Amino acid sequence: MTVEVVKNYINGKWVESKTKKFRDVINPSTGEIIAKTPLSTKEEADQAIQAAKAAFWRWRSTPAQTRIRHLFRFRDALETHFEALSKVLTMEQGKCLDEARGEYRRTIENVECAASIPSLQMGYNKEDIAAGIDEMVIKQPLGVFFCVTPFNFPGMVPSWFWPYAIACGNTYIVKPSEQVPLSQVRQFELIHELGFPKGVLNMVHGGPEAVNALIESPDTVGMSFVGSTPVGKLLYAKCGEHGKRAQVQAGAKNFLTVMPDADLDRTVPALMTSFFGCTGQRCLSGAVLLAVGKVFEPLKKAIIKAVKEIKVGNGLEEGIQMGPLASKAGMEKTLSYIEKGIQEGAELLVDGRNITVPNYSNGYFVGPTVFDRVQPQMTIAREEIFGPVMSIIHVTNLDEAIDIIHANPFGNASSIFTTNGKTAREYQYRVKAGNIGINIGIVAPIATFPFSGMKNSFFGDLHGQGRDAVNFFTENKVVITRWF
Amino acid sequence: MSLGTFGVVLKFAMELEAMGTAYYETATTITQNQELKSIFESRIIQGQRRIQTLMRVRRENTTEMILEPITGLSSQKYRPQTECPPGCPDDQLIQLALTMENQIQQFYIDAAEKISFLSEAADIFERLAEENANNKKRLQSSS
Repeated sequence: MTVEVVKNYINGKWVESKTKKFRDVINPSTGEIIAKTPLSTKEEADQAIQAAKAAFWRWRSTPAQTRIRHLFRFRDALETHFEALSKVLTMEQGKCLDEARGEYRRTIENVECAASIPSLQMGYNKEDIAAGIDEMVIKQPLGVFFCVTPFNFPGMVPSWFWPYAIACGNTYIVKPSEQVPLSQVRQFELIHELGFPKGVLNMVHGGPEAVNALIESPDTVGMSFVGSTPVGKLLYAKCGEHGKRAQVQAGAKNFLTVMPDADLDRTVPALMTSFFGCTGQRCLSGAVLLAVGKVFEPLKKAIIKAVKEIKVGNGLEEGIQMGPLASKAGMEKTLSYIEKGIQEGAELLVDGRNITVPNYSNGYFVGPTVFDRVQPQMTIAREEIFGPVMSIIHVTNLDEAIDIIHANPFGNASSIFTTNGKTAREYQYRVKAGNIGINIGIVAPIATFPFSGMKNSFFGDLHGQGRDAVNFFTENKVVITRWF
Repeated sequence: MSLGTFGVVLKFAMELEAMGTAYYETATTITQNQELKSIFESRIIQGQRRIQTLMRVRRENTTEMILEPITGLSSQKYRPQTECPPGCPDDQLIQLALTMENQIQQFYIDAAEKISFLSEAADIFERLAEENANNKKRLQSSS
């Protein structure tokens, strides 16, 4: 069987990379190689930059109403091909079909939101700032932007950025994760069929060489990044060095707090999807459960029961609730953290190691894992595991919970489960995390809101999605006028 | 089989609709009663439309926040008997259809309650259940 070697998409054409370096794309449920990603060269990244640069002036002077019609057509194509796209996503990434569908729903929402650019991009003005003098702000596009995106949401994450960028009048280069390029390839096939103007939207596959070329080029103006904190920090600094705008959404260690007055019947299902949905590979996944006071025993009992009911398997099979880790490396990393947890003295309540998934012995499966008696200083309580591992810490009160949360360097998301409004408000008010949930397991902002993040989970000023995206992809020009 | 996720609930709903449509397709070839034939034929068209509606519901309502497991819903209770033997008399065809409509209706009523956190999907399930109730009335009036 021939394996597809994915191509770059530059200046409205599919282009084979000339690189000699490739990365295998592996179906994590079966261990089979399903495609190969070229690690494109600096020259190839430059070609994409030049195509995007050449397309910029014509595109930015195209009326916004005309620009967004391409987005409307793309949105309809995503609806038409919804199931097929969801299946490709599951095949390359491993998440179960419902999760893939959820990811595409959010992708469509972002395209819809970006299609409202004619309103969102409007500036503002004021008459008579002095006698006979008016002043206005125009939000103008800047040029060539690009994104570097992660393996956990290969269908959706680029949509946090490029639809807004091009709707505002910029041109764009998508650099998908080399581990999971197929979702973007399928989307670009639709883009190609729909006839987007050449050079407006480009795609370059690759690794550090391509990314460095995109950052270092004098012809790009900004980068959107989603990925790990160490890489994010490095690229953020590099963007600063080269005078680029940057929005860097990075790693996470999310704490979920359950108060003694929480409604456990509603809380436990939300915890299941938070900790084990997408096999714990969301940057919004729950990582540490802070059980406050007397809720500890009944909560622990309910969690063990619920965890044992989670169906693990190939996400393509309807009814599977948790797929494999996205890669062998991800599986090994998760297993090593479980070992570490045992070594450091945590009590393994549910052991996800050595899980057997019939017919998929080569898959990268780790079952849902639960640790009790975790201490805040333990590795599993501090570091991002990015796998289906719940670490339970028993705390006596809300202050202790918040102290533990604040001692951690990450600040992506945090949730509280309570029936008390005052406690909920206090949590929302005090906790330093970008996305706060009140009785919500996964605090995923819809497209019209920014995907926030604080501390080591975000570097930059403006986040992805919504109005933040519009501000990131435009710059304000002030015009002061007086007519004689 | 436990219907533990939104996707599985929707898939089962589509299966039920496909089974219903298949039953009416066979029944149409068996009955000689023109009035009954016309009821069955309209139900075939309705079944196809209902599947399209369910596909749309699945596309538009699967969001990250609603992937919470669903408990207490199982397919066994609702799986209808859809075999109609050749030469089956009309009254038996109607009786089988009524039982089937009843089971499908009950499925949508129960499932709507289980997915009440998705108001639009629950609303559509309730409407499909109402259609089943109307279908029963129509079948009863023809018997």
